[in-house]
Amino acid sequence: MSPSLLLTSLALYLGLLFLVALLGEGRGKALAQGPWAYALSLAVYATAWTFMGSVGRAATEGATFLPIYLGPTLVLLFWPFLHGRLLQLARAHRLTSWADFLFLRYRHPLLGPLAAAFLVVGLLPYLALQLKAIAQAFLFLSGEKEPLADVAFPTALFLALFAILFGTRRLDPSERHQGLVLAVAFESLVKLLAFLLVGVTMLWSLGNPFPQAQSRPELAPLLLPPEGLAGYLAWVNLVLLSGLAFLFLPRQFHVSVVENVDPKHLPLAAWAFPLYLLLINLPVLPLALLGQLHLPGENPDLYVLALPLEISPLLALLAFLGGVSAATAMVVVESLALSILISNHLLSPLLLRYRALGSLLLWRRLAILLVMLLAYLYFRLAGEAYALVGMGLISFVAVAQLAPASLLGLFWKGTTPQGALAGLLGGTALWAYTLFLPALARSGWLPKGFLEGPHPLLRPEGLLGLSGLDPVTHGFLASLTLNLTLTLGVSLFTRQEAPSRDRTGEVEELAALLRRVLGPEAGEAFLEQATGLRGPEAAALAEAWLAGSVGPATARLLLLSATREAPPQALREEVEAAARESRALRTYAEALEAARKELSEAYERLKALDQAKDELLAAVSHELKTPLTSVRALAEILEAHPDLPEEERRRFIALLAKEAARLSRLVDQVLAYARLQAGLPPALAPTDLKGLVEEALALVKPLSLERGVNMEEALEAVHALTDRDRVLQILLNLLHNALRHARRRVRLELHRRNGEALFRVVDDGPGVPEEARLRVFEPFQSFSGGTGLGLFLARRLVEGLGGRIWLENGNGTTFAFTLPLEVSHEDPGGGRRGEHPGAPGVPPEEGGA
Amino acid sequence: MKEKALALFFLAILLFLLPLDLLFRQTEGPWGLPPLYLYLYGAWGFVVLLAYRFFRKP
Repeated sequence: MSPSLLLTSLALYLGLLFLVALLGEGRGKALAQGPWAYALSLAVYATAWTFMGSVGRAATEGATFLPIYLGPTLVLLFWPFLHGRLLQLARAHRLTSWADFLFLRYRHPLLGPLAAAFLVVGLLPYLALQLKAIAQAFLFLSGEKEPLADVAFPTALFLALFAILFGTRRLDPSERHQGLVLAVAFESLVKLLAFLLVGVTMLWSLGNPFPQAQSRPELAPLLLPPEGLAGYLAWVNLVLLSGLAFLFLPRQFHVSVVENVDPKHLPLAAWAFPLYLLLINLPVLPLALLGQLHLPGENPDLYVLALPLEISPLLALLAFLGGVSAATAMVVVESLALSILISNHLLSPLLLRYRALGSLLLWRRLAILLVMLLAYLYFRLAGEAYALVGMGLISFVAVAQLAPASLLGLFWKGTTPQGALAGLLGGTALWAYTLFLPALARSGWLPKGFLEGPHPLLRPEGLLGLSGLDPVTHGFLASLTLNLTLTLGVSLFTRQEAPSRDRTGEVEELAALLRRVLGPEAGEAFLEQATGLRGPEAAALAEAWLAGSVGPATARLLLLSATREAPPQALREEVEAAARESRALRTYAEALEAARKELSEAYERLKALDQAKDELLAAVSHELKTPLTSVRALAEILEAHPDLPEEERRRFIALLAKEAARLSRLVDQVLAYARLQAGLPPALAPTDLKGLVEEALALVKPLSLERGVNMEEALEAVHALTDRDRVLQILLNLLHNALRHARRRVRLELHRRNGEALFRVVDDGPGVPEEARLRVFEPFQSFSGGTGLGLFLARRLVEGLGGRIWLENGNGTTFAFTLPLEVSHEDPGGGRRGEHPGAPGVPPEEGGA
Repeated sequence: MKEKALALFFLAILLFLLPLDLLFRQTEGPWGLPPLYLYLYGAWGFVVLLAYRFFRKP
């Protein structure tokens, strides 16, 4: 095939990729942010290694190409525990890589840089593999044999440019790159369709390879499982290794975590991505068998190109572009992810020290270029020593070294920074000794004698005398076992360090810091988001923003200038608890003060009542003493003078009876008062008030006849729910009072007014003197020889029934009182609280009724 | 969702990591296809189908 045609096709394809990325940043933004683009972008996992290397591996080792895709399937099924959790962490702390997580989890200054440097070194072979795939495919199709290269160099430069343009426009790498995502998703579709098309066309053209393969004994191992324990161990190792690689490869972290716009995309990806892997693996075995049957002398890694070339150059060109798409997507995303690692963990602390942090974006772009050039160098220097899959697997084992520190850090609180560091260092060293250095030795960069080791027990590809394991399985088992053992062992024997104190700071100062480092837009956005946050929360937010852009270690250093140490968590909790207690105490004290006031008022009332009782007792004693003295004196006279004239004697006896009656009345009223004070509730019952008034009039009729007073009445029929006996007592008290003062006439009225019963007792006596009007309802205020308790009792009884009593102005004396037709609240001893319209004895129109 | 994911994860481990050497010793199976691959692709497809049933609705 003409090299110029290939070059033109390559250039056109890369141009198309450019347009797709532009579309993703423009009109196709919604498409790039959708769940399907997310699921397809995960397929950046399927690289040139998948497109060409899998067929090569299937053609030489049989089914062992499959575990490389079964591992990621398993990991993605576990998404609620891994990716779901990672997304939460990444959103909270703006993580851009596992190295960020290691720093965040362990706060050890060496862990992040070590992980970053190791990943760069470990993944160079993998990047070189992609360049090799492109170069190899180009040379194969163009028919040129030597030198192997140099289409790889301009392609590497173009891809570096692409990654710079669509991945590093701004400093914040945790922002989403829709153009990049759409381009990667597009490439995933291209490689899947191209591979399926090549497979179907080959089957259609060359026929079913299985019957022929089954008749060829030398091909039988390709159709059978790996043999024996070593074979099974290799199978399990590959599943585990690829699962870990899928989780820890920087490009996978980038597309699955950093570029994720919505965690709800994960469930779809959890079945769509495994389905993608299943589909892209369907043509592998048929193509491998067809290659073995029809192209026995050809390089198996090139079957995907060589077979279509037998049928149609156009199909071969399609296969070439499929391989290119698989390689370019990986190269772009991986180089971007590695450049972020380099700039955040290796460069930014240095730039900060030399006050050149402002040039970080430039350095990140240069890092992409550097990574690409190093990969190209690796490919040129060591690339021809290993098959495609062999190179990829070395990188996979390197990436898997992050697993113990990361997974234990994620799920086990007991992992210590020392344990993580020891594990990572040990695993890295053993990876280099068992895999990386032997690869260099095979490429001639180290003496071949290196492969023999300094001692038979220390042979790089057979430690402790192990034999029968393939180098990758051996290197993976050895390095991961040592890594895990050191991480666990050192963690168990080292103390968990006290977590570093949180920082706290003013929002304004933090915003100014962000403005300086990330630009004015970031400062304003931070102000908007952080306003209202507490100091430690604002500082944590600022740290996350900075960490996403300049790396967590540098962010921590930058934050020192704008923050101070927050009080320890325990102290904060104590302060908060004290504040809570103080609030509770204040509420309690307020309640206590209210209760004290209430008690004080009650005490004052009780005191007043007690005083009133004393006064009452004194008054009662005084009142009782007068008639008793009279009774005693009269009785002594009658006893001492039996010969008193009859007339005198009758006069004395009449006086005696009068005083005894007075005493009896006094005692009755005192008893009534005592009942009232006892607080017995009124016995409410439907009562015919008119009938009750007539009964009272009948009771006082003898007295009125004796006094010669005419009783008048004006009564309406009124019914009420009230205490009949108490109302009768009120009426009798008022009538007795009126009869005592009346000259000729006493009038009793009963009306219904405003929902109340209004009573009025009017006499034509001299009336109450002006100076006595206010004291008329006080106890023992008698102005005419009564007990002085009648009106007092009447008032208390009226108030106890929810009514009001007052003395009206006018000729003679008019006492009026009301009773509610239905009592809603009664106070047996003190009247209607809160509803009483005015002071006792003051009529409603004066007292504010 | 978490329980289903966990159950499916363990089922997939069981299906993918069986001692295949003991189970598939023939190169020819139904429709002339190798039984090892029929099993592996079938088990894989089954797991994907279950994942689709479990995860399609959030």
